[in-house]
Amino acid sequence: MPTWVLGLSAFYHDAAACLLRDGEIVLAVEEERLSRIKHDHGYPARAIAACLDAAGISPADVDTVVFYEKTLPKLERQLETWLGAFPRSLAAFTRSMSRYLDGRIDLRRWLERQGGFRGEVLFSEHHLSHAAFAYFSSPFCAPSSSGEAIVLVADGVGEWATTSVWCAGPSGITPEREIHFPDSLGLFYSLITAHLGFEVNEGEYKVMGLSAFGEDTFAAQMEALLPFDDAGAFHLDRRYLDLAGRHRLSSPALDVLLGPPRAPGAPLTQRHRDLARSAQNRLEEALLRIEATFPAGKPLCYGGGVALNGAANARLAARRPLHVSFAPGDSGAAIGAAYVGHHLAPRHDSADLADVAPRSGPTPPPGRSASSSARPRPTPYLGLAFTPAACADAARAEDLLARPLADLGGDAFLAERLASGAIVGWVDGPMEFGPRALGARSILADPRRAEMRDAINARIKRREPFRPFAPAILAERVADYFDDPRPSPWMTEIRAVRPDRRADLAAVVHVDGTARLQTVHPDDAPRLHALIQAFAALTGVPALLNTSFNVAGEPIVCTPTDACRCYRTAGLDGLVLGELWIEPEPRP
Amino acid sequence: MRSRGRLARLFARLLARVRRASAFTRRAVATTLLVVVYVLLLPWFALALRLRRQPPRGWRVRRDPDLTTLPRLRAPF
Repeated sequence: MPTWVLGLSAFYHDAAACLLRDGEIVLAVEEERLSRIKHDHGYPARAIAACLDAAGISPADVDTVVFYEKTLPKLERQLETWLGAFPRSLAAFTRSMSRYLDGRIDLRRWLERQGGFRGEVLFSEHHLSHAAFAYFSSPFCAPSSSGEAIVLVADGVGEWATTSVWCAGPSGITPEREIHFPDSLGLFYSLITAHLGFEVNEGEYKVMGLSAFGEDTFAAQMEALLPFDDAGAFHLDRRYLDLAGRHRLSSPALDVLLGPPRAPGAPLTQRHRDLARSAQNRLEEALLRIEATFPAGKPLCYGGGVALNGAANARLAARRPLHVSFAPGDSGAAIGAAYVGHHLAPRHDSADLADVAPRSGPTPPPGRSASSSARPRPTPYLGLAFTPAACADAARAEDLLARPLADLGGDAFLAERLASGAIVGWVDGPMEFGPRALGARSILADPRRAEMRDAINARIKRREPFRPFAPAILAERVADYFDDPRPSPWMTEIRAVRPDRRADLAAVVHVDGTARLQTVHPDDAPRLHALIQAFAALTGVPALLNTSFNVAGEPIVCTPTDACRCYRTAGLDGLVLGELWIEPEPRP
Repeated sequence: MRSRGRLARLFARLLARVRRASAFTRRAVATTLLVVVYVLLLPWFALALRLRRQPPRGWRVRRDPDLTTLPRLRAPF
């Protein structure tokens, strides 16, 4: 009888579910992809149903459900925050507490009533879930390595911890030290995000992108906001915080320190760019000070929402071997919670962790054999896949003319279209898990044309013109374009493009000469790899512009129907839907 | 003893009535109760919080070998 473990994250942002069968991922999916509500924070009923469907089991068959955090310490932290802001926190108190009245405070009963689960219900800690995903998805826990690593988790806040350091090895994951709320790097960056008029938990990428245009002229102010101590820790000055009052996150004192906040949608000035630069510098400095306290030579697994900051990741990676998973944020904590249930919980009933801990990551997606993946790490292609018939039905239902791509010339045809300036939607195989499009639900374009960036930002994605795009580059050719040729398959690092090659990648090189690269390996994304090879054969450039297949405010597409609708809304020049090619021409 | 029983019956009747009411009424009752709790109870806790010594900032060493034992994982706290 197989053992089924379901990991869940919910009720804050980026709800998700992940089902393990004997320790291997059957399916992992974020609720937003199915509900079509970006950062959906509700109970992930659709994601759970998709996981159970994929396994062909019912809720009653699930042995263990693992929730990604402890519910009561989180409530305690919220209550203490409201108490600290009494009496200004009335609105926040009634709004948040009324959510608890729906029964979720007794999650065990909730899962039984809402989901029909009858097995064991476990509660991981928020940072333990992040740490478990960071470590068990890393190459450092592979049998070929020593198995020992340091795990750093940094995010806004979990229960109380905002930054934590763990020791991981063959005997498990143990906590070493932590910093508590409200001293938080995630909160610090969110304060700046809100001050710059962007949405918290959404606009942090924009601040990072904007920082490349600025100068570090606010260093003194950032030092006042986020002072450091001698032990590598940081503090967030309470005078600038207002976590439960009328002002969002920050107190009026922050406006005095940094100048007036930018209204959402207002024009960006050099002051805003400089603020972003100084905040980014301060964040990187804080992380490097923490890293400096770790023993030399030990590899680092890094998780939590702050690990989405690719510029900071690159600086950490320059110091020691680094692993950042493809979903270091809260959605990935669902996978981490499932790993806690499988890898860690049974440890105390077992003589040896190696007996119960398969180290080779999840089941390879359909079409890829386990032996084809020599590297012992999971891929992000863990979501729903659709049959050719389902793709054809979706195109027909949306009144789109679909033709077999093979009849038109396959990759050579597509490469020619891309080289002539077409912007193409791309749906291939199981959907990615995590915030990045990595070649399963992507928009692809020619990276050589500088005008592509403006065209996609303005016409397709309808987002801010300063935001950069990423290159997907053949793993075997990365050294030709980047000084640092280490693999970066999940777009987790921003690296400098070689100056003599920047013209080849004009649409994806940011203003500071960097790019958030994805190295494409044929084991991970064979079709995308083949397409880039065809593009390289035609143009000499072994890369494509790769951005997520969505428009502003919407989650990345999931189903063929979502893809057809987004293709139309965005006004793309073509759509690859599995083995089909769709062009913008009405069916006769 | 008798008055306590009467009070319990009254409370049960009120609760049953609220449960049967519309979603809007239920939400209004819940919000009113939360406001009452906030105004009457929270000030005392807020006062206690302000009188309490501030916890130290910076790194806190954590030795917790039982973190992933089944009894600990079963507990929501």
